[in-house]
Amino acid sequence: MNLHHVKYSKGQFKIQQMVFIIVALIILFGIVSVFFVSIRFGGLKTDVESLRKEAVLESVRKLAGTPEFAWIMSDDCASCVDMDKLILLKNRTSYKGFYKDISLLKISRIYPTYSANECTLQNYPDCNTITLIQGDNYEGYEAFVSLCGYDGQIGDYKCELGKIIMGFEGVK
Amino acid sequence: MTRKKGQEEIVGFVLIVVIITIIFVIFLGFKLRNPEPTQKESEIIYQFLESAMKQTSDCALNTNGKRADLDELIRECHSTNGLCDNGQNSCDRAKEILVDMLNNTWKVGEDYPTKGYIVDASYSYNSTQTQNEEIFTITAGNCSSSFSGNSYLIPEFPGSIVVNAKLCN
Repeated sequence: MNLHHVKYSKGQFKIQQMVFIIVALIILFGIVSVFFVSIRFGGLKTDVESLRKEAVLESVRKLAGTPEFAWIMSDDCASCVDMDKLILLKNRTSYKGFYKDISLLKISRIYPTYSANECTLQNYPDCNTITLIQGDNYEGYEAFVSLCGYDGQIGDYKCELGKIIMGFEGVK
Repeated sequence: MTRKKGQEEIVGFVLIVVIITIIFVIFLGFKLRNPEPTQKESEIIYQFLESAMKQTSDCALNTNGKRADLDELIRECHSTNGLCDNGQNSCDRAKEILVDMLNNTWKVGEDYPTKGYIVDASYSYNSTQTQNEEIFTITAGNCSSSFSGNSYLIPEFPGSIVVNAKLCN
């Protein structure tokens, strides 16, 4: 059959034109929708990441409530850590391997700070950091806590601003 | 000059495309301009405020010589603006301690991730009251862009003291 001899009616042309326009409009609306969706949900990934991070921070802070860390002299301080317990915990061999999947566990004083950085039994309490676990290959998270302990100079208990720094194995 | 019908239809189609594009551009413009700074509630700031309020100061408010925590110092600052045993004003000392803690925690400036901060304490008689009595405000750096913040409540009958902290990114 020779195509040159096929006759198309005017109505067929009109339908063809309309189909072309409809297809073009659908493509246009499709592109617009893709743009809209990408803008609308662009921040979703960041929001999820920040929510996850906050959940991790919350769980890091929960460590302050465990018996090894908790400050029991005050009833209304869930975020208080007993520094006197921690300095004793530092060199206890029985706690080796106790904290599973944790590559780093440090407690640092933020305010006030002292000249000595790492705490030992000799320089305690005039020091800044108690390192309980020091490994490598970790991603660290920090949570604010109150570092409490007995101060012989004032003859009373005192609390200072600090943070728990925790590094989890295999988190990238 | 006579126009063919086909040309008219093409012009019509182009017009539709142009109108839709203009609407889309206007929508994008509104969406991306984002003139007001956005605020995010931050868990880390709440943790900071909660822990900071437990800070034992060097200021004894009573004759028994017991050193006051920062939240007690702010309460004293609001209620009587009393003096510490060493003669320092409770409001000044509370502000000084808070500033030192903030500066030790976050480095502020154009070259740092934190561009500035605003910390304010105010007294609110109840949660529905819009006007609060301002106790003090501490600011540093530039806070014109987006920020994350949180509040900490210190009970003080009949209302409570609200400490707000905002970190500007």
